[in-house]
Amino acid sequence: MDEFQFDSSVDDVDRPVRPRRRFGTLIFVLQSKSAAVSLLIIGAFIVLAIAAPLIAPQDPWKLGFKRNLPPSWVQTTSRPGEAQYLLGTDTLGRDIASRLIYGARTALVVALLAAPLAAIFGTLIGLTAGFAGGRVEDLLMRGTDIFSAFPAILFAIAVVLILRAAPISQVLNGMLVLVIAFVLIGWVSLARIIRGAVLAEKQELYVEAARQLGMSQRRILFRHILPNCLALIIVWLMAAISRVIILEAFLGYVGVEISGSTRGLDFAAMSWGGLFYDGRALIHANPIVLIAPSVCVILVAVSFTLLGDRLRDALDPRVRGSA
Amino acid sequence: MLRFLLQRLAWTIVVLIGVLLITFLLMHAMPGNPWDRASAQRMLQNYSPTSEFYARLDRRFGFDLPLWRQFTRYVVGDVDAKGQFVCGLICGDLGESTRQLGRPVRDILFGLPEGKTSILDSRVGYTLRLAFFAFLIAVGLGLPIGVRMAVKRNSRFDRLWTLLMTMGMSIPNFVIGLLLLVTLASVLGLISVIPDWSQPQAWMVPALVLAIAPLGTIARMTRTATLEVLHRDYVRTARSKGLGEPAVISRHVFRNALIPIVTLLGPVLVELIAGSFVIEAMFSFPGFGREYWLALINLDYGMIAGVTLLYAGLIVLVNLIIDMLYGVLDPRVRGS
Repeated sequence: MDEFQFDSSVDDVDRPVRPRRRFGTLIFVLQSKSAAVSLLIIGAFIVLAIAAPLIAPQDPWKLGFKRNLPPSWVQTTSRPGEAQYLLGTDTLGRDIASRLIYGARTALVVALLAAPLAAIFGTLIGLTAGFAGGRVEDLLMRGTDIFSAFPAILFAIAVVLILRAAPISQVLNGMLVLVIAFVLIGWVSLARIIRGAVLAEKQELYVEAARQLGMSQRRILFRHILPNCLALIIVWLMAAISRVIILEAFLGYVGVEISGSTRGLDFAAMSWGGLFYDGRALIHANPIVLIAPSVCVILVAVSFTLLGDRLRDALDPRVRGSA
Repeated sequence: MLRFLLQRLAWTIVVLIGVLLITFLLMHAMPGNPWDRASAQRMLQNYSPTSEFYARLDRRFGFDLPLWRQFTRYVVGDVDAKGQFVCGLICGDLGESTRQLGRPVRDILFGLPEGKTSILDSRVGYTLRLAFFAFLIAVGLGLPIGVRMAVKRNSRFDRLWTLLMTMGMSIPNFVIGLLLLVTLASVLGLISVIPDWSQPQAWMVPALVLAIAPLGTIARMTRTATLEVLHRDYVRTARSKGLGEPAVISRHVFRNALIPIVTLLGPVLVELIAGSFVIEAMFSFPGFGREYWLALINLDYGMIAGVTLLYAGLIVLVNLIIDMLYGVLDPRVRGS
């Protein structure tokens, strides 16, 4: 429209309002003990993921003849553990501790790719549906109805089973398959939330004011309504990250990453899900194979949830004022 | 109201057809065919099957038809080899299982074991009962804990339970189930690994494991919703007219906090029904979730389509009930 005409005068209006302090949100988040600890745990796992080749004592792929070794501190049985295999070895003689460390890499790469992608997708659908209204909204929301009528986990399993045999399973060592599976099931809930939020925001006075100033629809949508939905998106994102990590562990546990008539995914040997799968068979011989990834999944998932809670409080001015 | 119901019903049918269509595309996109899976091979090894044999099997189940014909065959029905019309989904037929060589899916899902007459003893009945028990536990504990957390905001009780509920929400239930099964069954010997499901106490552990995550969700949501209404004007009015604290909480705070909680109950129940299959497999529970899992990995086309439809139908039904409940609880919604 005649947006360019007003551009210079409008520029001040739609520049996002700066927070009072530069790192206000961060400081608020760190004031909570649980959130600070969560951030520390997440940071530790990120370091672990990045520096995996330096930290891991062994190559997680390397098969060995020392099979089913117990953890190194177990010295009572007929086969004592060895110091170089801290958590023992699996049925193929691979070092459990190294698989665990590389597993952090897999989990975080998948989660930090899949959750934001799903967020972008869901946000776009929700924004479009809420803002456009009419036919477009009907069509999009009916589409989400169909998607949400699928049992989500089973849908994810089917998608992984299909893509596992396709050439796409080579990309990113096979992790892309999990990313796609989560994006396909994850966007639905956010699209619903964002549509609801947009419908509410549309009624607000500031949108009307922006419209009176002659701004284009797109500009109102992306520079005025979207920033007001940002808090919702960030909180959803935190929850989604824990969900992806749990999903990865889950798909490994049920064997979708590994077993089946065709070959499994390449990364399965160094994922927490893969450890869960092997741990089922070793549940009596070496329960640490099961307990170690459980602890990791719980730590990361709980940390992201707690951090998300605190972020929600930080981004919601009403709570922030009263706390 | 009737008009609303009819509209929703018509829309439900469209959703189910859409779900079925996507399911058809997805399952036929999976590599391989039902006959090359391990379970089918095991079953067919006595026949020393030839390619002609497989062709006959394909013809028997209609897999030689083009995909769209298979779809209409499933939904409407088709003329069989003898020239007789066999009715499909519109007559309530959910197709045939290939893994169990031609056994009707409806029989697998709703069929009763020997000597039982109640529908509750079918596979669907078992899964729904388990989900319902877990739901009762989650709601029965989640609501009072959540309200108490809000009333005693920032107390030690609140902080402890918030942490516990957050953990419960974020710990995968298969991990809890596995650890519980090992400690209770193998180490302590308190429960049997293959229990007798006619005994009520056998249901306790799987139902509890299933209930933990929704319990966390419900308790946290209840806390937030209660906090929201706790300082409203009408609550202050109720207090100032001399109403006792229990009555204020139960009649004024809780009733109004319930509205956002009800919207959450739909997804919670759906997740309980759809997410139970791992727990079912873990505890050797005779529900239909496990059958679905076996159907998926064995590419049992008829079974996948039938059970996905059942799941979708249940999900849509739950959402419809929640929508109607919403109208009952919140008079403001009733008009629109």
